[in-house]
Amino acid sequence: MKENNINLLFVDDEEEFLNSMSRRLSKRGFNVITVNRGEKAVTLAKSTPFDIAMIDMKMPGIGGEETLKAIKEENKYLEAVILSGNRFVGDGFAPKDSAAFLYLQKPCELDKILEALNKAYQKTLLNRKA
Amino acid sequence: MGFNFDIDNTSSDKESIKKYFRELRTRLIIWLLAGFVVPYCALYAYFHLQYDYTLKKTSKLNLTVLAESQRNTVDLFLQERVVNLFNLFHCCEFRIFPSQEDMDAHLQNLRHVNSAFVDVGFLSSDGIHIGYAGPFPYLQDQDYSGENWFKTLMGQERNYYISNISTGFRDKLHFTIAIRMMIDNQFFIMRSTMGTDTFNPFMKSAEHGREVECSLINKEGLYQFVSPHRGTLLEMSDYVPEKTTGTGVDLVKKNGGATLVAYTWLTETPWALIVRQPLSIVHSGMEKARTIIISSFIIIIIIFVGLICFFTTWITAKIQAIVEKKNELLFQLQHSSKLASIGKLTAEVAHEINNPLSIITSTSGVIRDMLDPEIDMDFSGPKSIIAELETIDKAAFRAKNSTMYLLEIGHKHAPQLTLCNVNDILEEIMIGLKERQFQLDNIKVCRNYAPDIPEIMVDHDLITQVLLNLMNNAGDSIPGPGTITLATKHDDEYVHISITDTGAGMDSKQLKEIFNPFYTTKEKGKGTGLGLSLSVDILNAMNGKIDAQSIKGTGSSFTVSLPIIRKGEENEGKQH
Repeated sequence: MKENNINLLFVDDEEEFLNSMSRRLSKRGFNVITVNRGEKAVTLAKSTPFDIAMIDMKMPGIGGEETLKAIKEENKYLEAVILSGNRFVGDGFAPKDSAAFLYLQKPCELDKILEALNKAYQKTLLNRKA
Repeated sequence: MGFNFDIDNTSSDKESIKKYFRELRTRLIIWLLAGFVVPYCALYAYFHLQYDYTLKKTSKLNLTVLAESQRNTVDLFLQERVVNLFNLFHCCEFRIFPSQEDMDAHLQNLRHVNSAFVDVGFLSSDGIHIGYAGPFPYLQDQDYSGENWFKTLMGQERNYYISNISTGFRDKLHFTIAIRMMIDNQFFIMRSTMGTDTFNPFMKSAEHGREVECSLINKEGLYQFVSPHRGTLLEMSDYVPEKTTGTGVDLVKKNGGATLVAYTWLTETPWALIVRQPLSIVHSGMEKARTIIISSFIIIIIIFVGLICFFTTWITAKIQAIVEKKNELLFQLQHSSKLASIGKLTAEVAHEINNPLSIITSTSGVIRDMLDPEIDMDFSGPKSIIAELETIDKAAFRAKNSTMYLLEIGHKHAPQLTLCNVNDILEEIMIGLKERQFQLDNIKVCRNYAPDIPEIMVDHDLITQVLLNLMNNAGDSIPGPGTITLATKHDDEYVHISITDTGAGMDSKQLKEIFNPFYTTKEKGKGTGLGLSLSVDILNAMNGKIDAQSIKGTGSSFTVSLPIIRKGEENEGKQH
């Protein structure tokens, strides 16, 4: 399982979720960096070349979409999954006006999260090649 | 039910609308009828009276004119007879001591002129009947010196005299025309009697048609000429004019009905000519016109009353239908407003449940990873599992808080007054959901509660609804980071709860409108504009009130004031 680690930026204001999920993901081939605020994530993205990001939609301070837009300004190849606690749209591709690649509805099975993150990673790789 | 704002209760609403329009229709009809019928009646009455007055005056005048023309006829007739008698003095047969042949010739002359002459007599100045021709030969040599007519004729300046009707020296009623003539310084008198039927022809001529009836009376009121069906000659007239000269008209009311009576005094003899006409005949034309006018008046009134009733009913029914439709729409909108706020609530609650759930699933996943030998998760015995389980429990109870809150908000029951502490209500809302929600929106919440706030009798859920709505509004009005201040205080009568935000604020024009239904400052789809209007209804029902202050660009402050009703005063408060 320790193939080339994917650099994942994980942003969520729920500390417990951030903690447990990052522990699980780091055992599954991800190099997880966690932050609990969008602002911190943007600052961090300036110095760290992340492959993909997983961002909570609703957070104190700047929200998920805004955070992602700011990060993408630093790292234009980065693709992201947005986690949402109250979207009715369900899982799947993000709406057109969103900067994200995929949307996931909280709570979500680990397999789905892994699948989404891998898809996002593949997209990032494609972006870089193009 | 102490309150009447329950928007689901539309049947009583419909009843009250119906009642209102019934009353409106009745009032409209009454006022329209009063406005039209009263002036119309007044106008009609005025014209009717005028018409009546004029017609009565005219009919009196007509009768007077008729009486006067009859009198002129009678006067003329009498004058002619007097002249006939004077003529006898000048004819060839006249002698101071006439023979029977002379007298017969005189009578013949007279009767030739007018058949009304019954006989003719010639008297010397001492009143002895020295010549006579006629049906009563025994009157020859009769002494008339004691008779009234003789005395009057000899005593008066006028040289002729017309007597009242009497039997005189015969047993047949007649009246006498006597003239005196001075011959050789000595008076001679020529007299003639006329029958009582003398006046018949020309009196009757006036009578034909229109039931006009003529009669003659003397000074004493005795009939000198009368229709047989009214009375007999020399009987007292049932009408005697008060005046003894000139002309007049009177209305006589007797059991048989009213009669219009015109009288006029003759010039030749102190008799009065009386013309009677029953009032019903006099006014028959007027009655006919009056019947037409009254029936047309009634028809017009009926038409107008019908039109007014019809159009008022029609219009009010139209308006009622519109109002009912509007109310139905309002009800639907209130319902959709409720749905909208439920939608907002649902989204918030979903977020607040899904977040703990995601913590639970991810944390249980960590435990599973710990127990999976294939995954190299840090594992230091049961302790580390217990620590993860505690995280799970915490998240589960956090989710439970949200569902409890949801149940409480959605719980619908009849309004119930309970003793509540408004500080506690505010905290329940904050802890249940809002605090975290505000935190997510970068809104700081400041609490400024009065610690000694008295408990008040209110419906807990409805006040929660009002305050939650205000907090939602405050939150929505803050675009970026901001502050919401919750403050409570009280005076002798009211508990005041104020919710102040540092949001967009409103100008004075917006501020005036915010309590109106359907007014909203929020963008399309976000607000129905009914929240504050419903809040006003709820607070009114509890005798509370709501005030708003706002400065554009600085923020708004809403203050809810609720009356302090202590136990015991409760019933008073419920009556409202």
